[in-house]
Amino acid sequence: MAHWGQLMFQDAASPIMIQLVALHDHALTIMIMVVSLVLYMLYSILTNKFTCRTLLEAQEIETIWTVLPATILVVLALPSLRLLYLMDEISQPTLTVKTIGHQWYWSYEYSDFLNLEFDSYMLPTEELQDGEFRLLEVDHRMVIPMQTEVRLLVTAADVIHSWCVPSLGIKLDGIPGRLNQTTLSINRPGIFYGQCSEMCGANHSFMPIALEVIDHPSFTQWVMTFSE
Amino acid sequence: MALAKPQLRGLLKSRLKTHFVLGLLFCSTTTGSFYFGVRKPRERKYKEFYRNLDTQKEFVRLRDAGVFHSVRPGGKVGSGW
Repeated sequence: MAHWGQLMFQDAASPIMIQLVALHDHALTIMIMVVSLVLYMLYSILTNKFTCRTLLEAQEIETIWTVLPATILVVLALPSLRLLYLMDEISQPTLTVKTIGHQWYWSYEYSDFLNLEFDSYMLPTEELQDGEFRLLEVDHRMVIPMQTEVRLLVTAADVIHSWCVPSLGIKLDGIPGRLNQTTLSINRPGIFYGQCSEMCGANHSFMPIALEVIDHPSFTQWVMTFSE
Repeated sequence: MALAKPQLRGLLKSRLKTHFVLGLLFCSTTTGSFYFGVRKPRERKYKEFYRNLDTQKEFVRLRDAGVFHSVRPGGKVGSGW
């Protein structure tokens, strides 16, 4: 989850998010290079007292400052496109979870099992226990097994919502009448938080997402409680 | 005693040559600082974290700390859904 004074991304918990962080660093490197060069040139121009009365054209520098930016853009675009297509890959998910956005809560359906569906409302501040996070905790967390490819289908029942968990690098709009699909694969156990990311009414800020990632035997036990 | 002849022409050109080199040096310094000071350490930290991570041990630690709702400390299944 986010912490006070945070500037960069949350710690990555999925392979895609690790790649996104690396791409962001790559883009930032290029940006720092360009901005520092431009700032230096600006300083140089502002402190210059000389001029050249006979300057008409300069073919060499024109070539350089056309080819160099084009090369920089290619160096920026190739890793970006690679990751864009990687994010759309779906191999063999072992589990499918449907997430439905409502005003103002999420509901989760695990159609691979019987009778496994529940609503997930935000816990009001007055009901929080010690150590729980304000505006992030929910009554029923979405539970998934770790290191497993999970297909996530997101939709909505009323207005557009958006299912977002920053540490997994996922943000998927839930649009009524449409199913948006992505895959989740979480590297490590823990609780991962997110919030609705599409304006959906008065309580848009009060419909968080909490994902509980556990090991396979515990997940199986948890699923069995629904058939009892 | 004669003084050395000062440069009378091409002052802009020679200034540009100097500042071009200085600009490249400045740009390389800032980029290199970010690359070796931020980017590479972050990459290394992620690699080391995942190389040393024992996910099952981490899961048991978190479970026994009472963090999860679906599974309670000691492996008992949680309830309330």
